[in-house]
Amino acid sequence: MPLILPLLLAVVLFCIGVYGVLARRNVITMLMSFELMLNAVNLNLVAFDAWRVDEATGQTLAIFVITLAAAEIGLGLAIVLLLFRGHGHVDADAARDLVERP
Amino acid sequence: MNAILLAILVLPALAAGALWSIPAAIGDRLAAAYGSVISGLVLVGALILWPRTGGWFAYVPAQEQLLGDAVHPLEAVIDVPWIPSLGVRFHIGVDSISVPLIVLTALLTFLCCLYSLKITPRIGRTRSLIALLLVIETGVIGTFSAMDLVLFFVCFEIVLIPMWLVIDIWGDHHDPAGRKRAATTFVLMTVFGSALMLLGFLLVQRVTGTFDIVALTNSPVAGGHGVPLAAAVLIAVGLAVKVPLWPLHIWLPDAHAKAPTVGSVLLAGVLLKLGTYGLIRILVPVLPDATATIAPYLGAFSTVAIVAGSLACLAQTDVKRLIAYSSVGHMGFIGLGIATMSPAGLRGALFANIAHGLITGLLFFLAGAIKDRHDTSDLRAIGRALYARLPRIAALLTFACLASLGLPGLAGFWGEMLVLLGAYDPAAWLPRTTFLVFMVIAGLGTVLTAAYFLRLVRNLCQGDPAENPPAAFAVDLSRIELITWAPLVTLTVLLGVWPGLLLQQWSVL
Amino acid sequence: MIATVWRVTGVAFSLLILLFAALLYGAAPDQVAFLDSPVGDLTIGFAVRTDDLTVLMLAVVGVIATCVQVYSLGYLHQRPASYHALVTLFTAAMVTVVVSDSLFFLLIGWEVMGACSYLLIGHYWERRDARSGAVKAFLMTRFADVGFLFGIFVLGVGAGTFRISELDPARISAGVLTTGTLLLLVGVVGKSAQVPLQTWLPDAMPGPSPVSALIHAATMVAAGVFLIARLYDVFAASETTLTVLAIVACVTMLVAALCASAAVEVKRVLAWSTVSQLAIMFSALSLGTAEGRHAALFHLVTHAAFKGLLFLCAGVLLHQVGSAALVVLRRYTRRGKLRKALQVTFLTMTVGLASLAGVPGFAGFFSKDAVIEAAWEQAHDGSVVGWVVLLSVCLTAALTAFYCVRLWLWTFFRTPALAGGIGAFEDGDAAADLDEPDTSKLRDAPWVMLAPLVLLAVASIVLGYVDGVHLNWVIGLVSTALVLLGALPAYSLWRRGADPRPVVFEREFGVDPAYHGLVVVPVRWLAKLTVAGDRDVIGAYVRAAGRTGTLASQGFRRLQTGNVHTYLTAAVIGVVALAVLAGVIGS
Repeated sequence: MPLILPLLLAVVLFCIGVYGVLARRNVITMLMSFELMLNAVNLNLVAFDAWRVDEATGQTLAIFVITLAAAEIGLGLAIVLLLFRGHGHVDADAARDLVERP
Repeated sequence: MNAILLAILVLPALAAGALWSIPAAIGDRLAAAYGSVISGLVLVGALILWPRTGGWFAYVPAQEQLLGDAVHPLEAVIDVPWIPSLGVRFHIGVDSISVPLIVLTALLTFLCCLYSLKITPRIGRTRSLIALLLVIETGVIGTFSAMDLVLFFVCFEIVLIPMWLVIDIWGDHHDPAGRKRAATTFVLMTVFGSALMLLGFLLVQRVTGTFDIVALTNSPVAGGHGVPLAAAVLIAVGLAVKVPLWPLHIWLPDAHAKAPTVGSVLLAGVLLKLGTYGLIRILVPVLPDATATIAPYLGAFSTVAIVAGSLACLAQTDVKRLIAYSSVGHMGFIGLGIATMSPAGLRGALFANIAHGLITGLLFFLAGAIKDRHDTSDLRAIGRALYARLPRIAALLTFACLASLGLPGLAGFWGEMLVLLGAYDPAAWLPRTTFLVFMVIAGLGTVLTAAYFLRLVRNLCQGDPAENPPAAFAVDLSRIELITWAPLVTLTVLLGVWPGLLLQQWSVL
Repeated sequence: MIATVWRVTGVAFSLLILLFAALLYGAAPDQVAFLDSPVGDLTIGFAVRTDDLTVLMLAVVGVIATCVQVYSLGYLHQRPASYHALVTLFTAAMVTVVVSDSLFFLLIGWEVMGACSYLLIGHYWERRDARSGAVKAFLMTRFADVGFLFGIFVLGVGAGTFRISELDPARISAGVLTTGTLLLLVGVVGKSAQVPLQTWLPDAMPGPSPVSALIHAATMVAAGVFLIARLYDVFAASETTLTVLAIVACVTMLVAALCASAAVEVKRVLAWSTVSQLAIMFSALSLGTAEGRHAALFHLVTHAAFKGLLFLCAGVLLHQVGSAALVVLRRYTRRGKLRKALQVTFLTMTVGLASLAGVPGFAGFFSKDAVIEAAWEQAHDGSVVGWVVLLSVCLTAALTAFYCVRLWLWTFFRTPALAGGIGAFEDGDAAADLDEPDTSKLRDAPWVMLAPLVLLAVASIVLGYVDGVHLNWVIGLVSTALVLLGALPAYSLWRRGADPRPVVFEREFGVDPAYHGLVVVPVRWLAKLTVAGDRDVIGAYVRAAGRTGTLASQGFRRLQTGNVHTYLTAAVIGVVALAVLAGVIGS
């Protein structure tokens, strides 16, 4: 399979993920989009490893990324839960408690 | 010798630390007595260091010999590596330029501590005040004896925070916002100047490869343009904030007006000398050609300072602000003397440094005494006819005003006269006409100086006693005040009739 | 107790000066230098010298100082300790000026005299006129002293030395010589109250009368004459300076004599008279000859005697009567009360005025004739300066006689005109309400005050003969005629009970208000401008620097919207930009 196909897929997934993070209000959707971005990166790494036959670096890094994503999603969901308990919603745009009043 | 210099350098700081470690229950009198003992020891040490031969290590600039060709070694030198990776050494030493200033510092600090024996601040906490004064003393002696640019900068900065605390905590108790503002302006403007000065030092190090003042003086930076000029401008502007040179003088009137008596005395008598000392020690010897380029501008700003300071004094209604503006005028004279780069001018600047320290120290002591007795330093509130209400203090005030306006026969005259002589006959590579104009304007400035001091005496000491009844708690000169001020009065008269006492120190200049 | 100490010290010190002068009399001229400090090429040090001029001046200073100190024992009862101490300090400063061989040492004495003058004029600091007079005196002389200092620079640097005895006009370039002497002349003009700096001396009269006698008649104001005499070969070598001096002197003597003719208070008349007589001394010096110098010094000595005497007499009038204004004194002249009660004062004042006017036989006659003779010598040789000086001095002699006789008659004699000449002085004087004052308590002054008067009166006669009598009979006759010419109008005006005082002279040519408007008002305005500039311009920059920091942080704060999406968008844009940059730089 030409290298470009998985890379293209990774790019598309990454862009969808960026769009989701920037454009969606719901924090859980933002987290899901963020996971999408991470997995797109994973796909990229593995694709390069597959293209370079005797290479295992990318796959190793992909394992690290999966672990970190898992840890980060745990923490993120904990924060989302607290946000919901405090505000009653999970709207990122509406949660502006840390704003600096001029 | 080396040990003595090191001792007088670190003793005050160690003593301050010891004083802070003692619980705060220590009485005001005891703290002041402790301070007096320590500063007295420092004074004795400084007097021992008084150079026996008149000399300073001189240099030969690229073009021609500026200041004599005798190379005398420094006295009391300590030269050890400090930060080897940066090339910074702990190099201290004294010569005939620094020792009179060190003696002046020690004397004024000693007198301030003596003064605090009986006259303690209203809010108390004398322990901390004395400790801060001792830290300031260390910083100043360090600056005067530093022979390494970074060490100079470090000691230069040491004095700032203690002085800020002195003004902020023990300052004018009627006006907390005012003294906070005065202290903050003082610190921020001076730090800004120091930052520029440090940039200049770093440029010098880039060009020459060393921070050592002795080495730099023996082989100064040639060239009046480009990097040396940039370094000179930075160092000059940085020190000009401290001098203070018009138009960077604006921190001084507020700082003096809000500071306590001992704070004002040290600020005017000692801290202002740091700037001019830096100019004489670092700017002129290390960057002679660049200084020659900026000298006319330095002279111009100094002359404006003389006139502007005097004019501002004429419209003042607060005693301490008036004396602060008079300091601006006097430091203008010293700046002009340095700008002439001639033997007479430089000697005049050095002499005027000492004379100003003594006379303005005395003036601030007197102003503080009058302010304490009337709880205000506003001329309109104090009233007139002090000759009738406080005869001895008023007489001393008249004496100090006559000394400060440069009456021949008292210390203030010789510095001003030599500066004017230097402006009449500046260094050969400076534009003579410009300096003649400066000389004339500065001469007229002395008339303005006389005008405002006489106005002060007229509005404060003279007047109809019937309209100005004595205030309840205003008693005349007390014994501690007499003891504290007598050395200043004596030295003013002594230096006035025997200027050679100091001038012969600089005979090689 | 301290007052007694200072009184004794004062009298002792002035006697010491006399002793000193006597010891030095006839000794060979000598110079001693001490406390030298090298400054570059020059040497700044102190040095003293003794020669004929020194001895003469020391004698003058000693005699006048002794008279004044003794007189003050009886005159002054308010704050005597500081008074006697300051008079002693002043005398020491004058001695310094007189014995100095170093220009800087001389300057020290010169300015300390000015400071003592300020402090002594302000002795009665409760009074407003004393306060302002003292400040005016000090500031005007200080202004002139700046020129004096510059003159010292020019001459000293030009000649390579600050020692008077080493100043050789032959070795100094002409330009330097002229500039230096002109600048020294500025200092002299200020110290001796010549035009255009003449207004401080009449306003210094609120000081105690002995102070006026010592400082403002005999010594300090004569220091200018002394200086030119001391540096005479330097001054004589510069034609320009001598011409300027001549012009200044001639203008001053006439202006001052006219102002004296219109003054209505005894001390003010005497003050203007001092200015005028000093101008006569300067005009003699401006002739440039040894005779001129001799005449000037002769007149200085006689003037010290009779002017000192006259001021002390004015002091007696103030002490005994309470005022020295002619409008008040004249009320005491009915049936000759004043001159009968104060007999000694009357006699000595008559002697003094006669000497001042130049009545033949008195010392002033001889010294004024010496001046006229020196001027005539010069005029005879065809010198324009000589003619101008001659004519001015003659005119001034007539005017001097006029105001002397006017003063004498109005003070001591009841005018035969109706009702004592009501209307001659009345305008605007508060004491004019007293109609018939109580003269029963009028006594003469205590002997402590009268003894110096007698001594000085004797001196005002005898001094004319001390140097031997060299009289040119023609000039003597001419000057006598001038005296009569001046005296007769004064007498006839007095007889008619009139005292016309042209407004110009009474206002003293409007110089004082002009200076106030030209100097004081602009300086005060500039002072306010400077303070406003410090507060609103420089202060504004400093406050602006502080505000900039605050504004910057306010600006940056707007970035913190609290909205996560904003932050994330910024992060993404940043990353993309960095990637593009990396690509661009890498390629």
